[in-house]
Amino acid sequence: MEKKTYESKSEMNRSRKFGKNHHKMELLSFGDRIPNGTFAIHSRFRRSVNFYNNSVLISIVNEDIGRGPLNIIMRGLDLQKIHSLSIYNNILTINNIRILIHEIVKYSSRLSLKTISISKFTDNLEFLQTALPKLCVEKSLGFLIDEKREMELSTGFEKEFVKRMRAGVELIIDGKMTSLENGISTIKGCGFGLTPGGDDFIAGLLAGLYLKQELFGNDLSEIRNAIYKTAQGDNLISNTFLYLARDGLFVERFKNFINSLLCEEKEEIHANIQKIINVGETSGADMLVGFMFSFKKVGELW
Amino acid sequence: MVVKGKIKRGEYFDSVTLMLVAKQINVIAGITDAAVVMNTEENRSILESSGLLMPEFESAKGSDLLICLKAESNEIAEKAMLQVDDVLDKVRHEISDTEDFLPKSLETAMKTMPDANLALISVAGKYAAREAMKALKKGLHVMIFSDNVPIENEIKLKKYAKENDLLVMGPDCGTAIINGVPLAFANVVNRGNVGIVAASGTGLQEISSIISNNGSGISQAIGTGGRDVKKEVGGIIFLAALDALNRDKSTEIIVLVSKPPAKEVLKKILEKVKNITKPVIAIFFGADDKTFKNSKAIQAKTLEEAAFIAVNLAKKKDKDSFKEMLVKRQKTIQETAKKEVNTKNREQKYLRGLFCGGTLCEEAQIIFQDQIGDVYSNMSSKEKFLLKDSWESCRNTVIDMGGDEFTVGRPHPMIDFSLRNRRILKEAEDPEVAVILFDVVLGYGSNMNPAEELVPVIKKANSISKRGQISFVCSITGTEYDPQNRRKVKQKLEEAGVYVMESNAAACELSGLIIKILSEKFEKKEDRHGNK
Repeated sequence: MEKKTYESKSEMNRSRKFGKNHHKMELLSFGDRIPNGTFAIHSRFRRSVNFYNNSVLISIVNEDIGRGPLNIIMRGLDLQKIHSLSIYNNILTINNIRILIHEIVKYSSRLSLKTISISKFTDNLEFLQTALPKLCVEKSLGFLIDEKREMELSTGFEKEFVKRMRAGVELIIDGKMTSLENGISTIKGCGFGLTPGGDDFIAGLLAGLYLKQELFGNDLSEIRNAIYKTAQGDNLISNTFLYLARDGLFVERFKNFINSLLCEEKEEIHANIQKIINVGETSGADMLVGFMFSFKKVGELW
Repeated sequence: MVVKGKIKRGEYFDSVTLMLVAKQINVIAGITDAAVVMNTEENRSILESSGLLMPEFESAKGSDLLICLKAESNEIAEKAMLQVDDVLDKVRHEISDTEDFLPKSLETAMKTMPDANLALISVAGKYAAREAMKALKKGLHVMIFSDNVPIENEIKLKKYAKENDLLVMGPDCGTAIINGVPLAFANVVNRGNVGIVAASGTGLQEISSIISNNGSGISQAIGTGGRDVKKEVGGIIFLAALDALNRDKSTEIIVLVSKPPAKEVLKKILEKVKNITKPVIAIFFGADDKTFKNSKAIQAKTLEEAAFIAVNLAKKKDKDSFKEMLVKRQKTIQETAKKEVNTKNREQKYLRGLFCGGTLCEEAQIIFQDQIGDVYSNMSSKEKFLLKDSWESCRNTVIDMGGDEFTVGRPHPMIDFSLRNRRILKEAEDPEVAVILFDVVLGYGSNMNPAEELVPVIKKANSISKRGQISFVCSITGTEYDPQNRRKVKQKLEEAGVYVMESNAAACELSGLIIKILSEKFEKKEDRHGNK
């Protein structure tokens, strides 16, 4: 029988810990909002493993998902075999393997609004309004911007969901603070998956309001806080997304999308919308629909 | 009516998985409604409004999954509940099992299979060139399924491949058959002595399937990716593949197929054909007859014709002997068209072609041009006939549903029929529509239950169209050996009243003829009544 040889002791350790398909591990990105701590597994998907510690949720993801404020990207790591994670003093420990976190891999989630053309932005927003209804994935919140898409939702639950979302959004755009809060309460937590569509919509709305404040200088912090406070629920993933959106901390895909909206051509915007939507599921599309609503004129609120 | 519910503790699934599970449960006979959702207070409230809330859901926590269904009997409900468990288990296993079966780098893959001489690359476009170059440097031929690979990278890869006597199929190469192995979207065809070089995915599938269905077979079918025949790439791989087939002992006849190539590339290809020692049949959409004047290549007008010539040559028969059969078929088509015209009212005059195969859509435009004039399309090469909005048809229209505008955020229409199904229903609502033409492409990777998905839509479309009957015409690209089985799919579609033709060309011919006769008939009537 052929005897397996290892190039080094650490390789042998990795092999034991990550199975026969292990490869040389490399830390590619480490989000700027990841706190120190020891984390426990929250949920596991094909392309990501979520960990939590108190009210913080961080994710080890593959390269397809991309960089983000709370994402760790490792190359050569079998996501399905990860069982423990801790981070202290710039040392990342996964399954007892220690990896140094270099500054160079740290991802910055803040927008850097260097090149802005407001006229281009306005023009591009119009393009987004036309393009998004066509690009939204099936059973997403596309029906809020294109009535025809409602026919995709046909079961009893789905029809009620549509009604609920429509009612909530009506309240949100009513133009009064109490209506806004009622609207947020109506739609939060509504939807199918791990991050319900209603929560994704609110995250998109918060992201848009943050951008609006940055661009036009009007103080929307009170509104953003009110939305965030009302939208908080017991879904840790949603709560995390909402907090990031309120504070203008973006994953790379969304940052690229905003940057293209500010200063690039329509093809680039189209491609960036696709990249957000292609994350899979309906979350990307739902968030973009919420984002679009933040640029509607809503009474005296925004 | 029985309502049943179940809590799955601490189980997380993404929204698409949950919606797909609900969709599968909702189609079970006897199930009137179902929902599979994460537990939130708000979702419980929606469940209550839709009559699906169970008292036991009160004890569910935030990380729990709620399953509820309404059924005609307890037995059906319990059976469906087991099915939900099965589907969710399957998804969970897919998540945990995949990593054990798939090598995660080229190096590991080569250790697992040291004799391999071809790598199939299907990663995000921006990484594809890097992986392809790694494979080439290890002496492997490469098929790049990924799209969005920068053209300069494609050129670099192909130049390297040429220098090292290797092939790079793609980027955006959706199909190939190498040494009898179908790769990506390909059909299960007979092995034989016909080799194909194709810069057209469904073109390759249609030709190889017709060849196989008519008793011959394929030695090699090499896809090059559509951009290979454009000016920038210069047909590097198309020419190399032609050389390779000339050298290949199992290949005796060569078929070339391409969407419109650049003029200079076509010239190079035809120049190369002069030195090929085997018979070459060529179909280059958009190329004029003059280009072929002094060429050694046998020019075919349709994909079907290219396949028939190849079959005849493969069987050492007169290459044109199929024409007799086409004349007979023409008569049948005329009779069918006349019969269908009688089911139409005065308003019905247009056809709508909804294709998932890009080349089939291209071929349709060319066939219709001779029959009924130019048609509108999202892929028209003529500015005037290019649809302003791909989602809205205009007069006679053919749509490539595989166009970028339709494939963002969803699988290709060969896999996911939902968008085309919706479009079929939309077209059926248009009182001016007389014919709906569509293609069904079988094979690995394609939708596994095409008839089951199409038949209900066709029935619904017929019920929508109240004024006059719509003629449904389709072609099926594929063989009896495909996992979907062409014969079975054909039978089910025919039972639903669809005219299933032997090829895309035949389906276009029938559709176009119905429209032609309709326009002549009503024009004459209008003339008689002096209304025009």
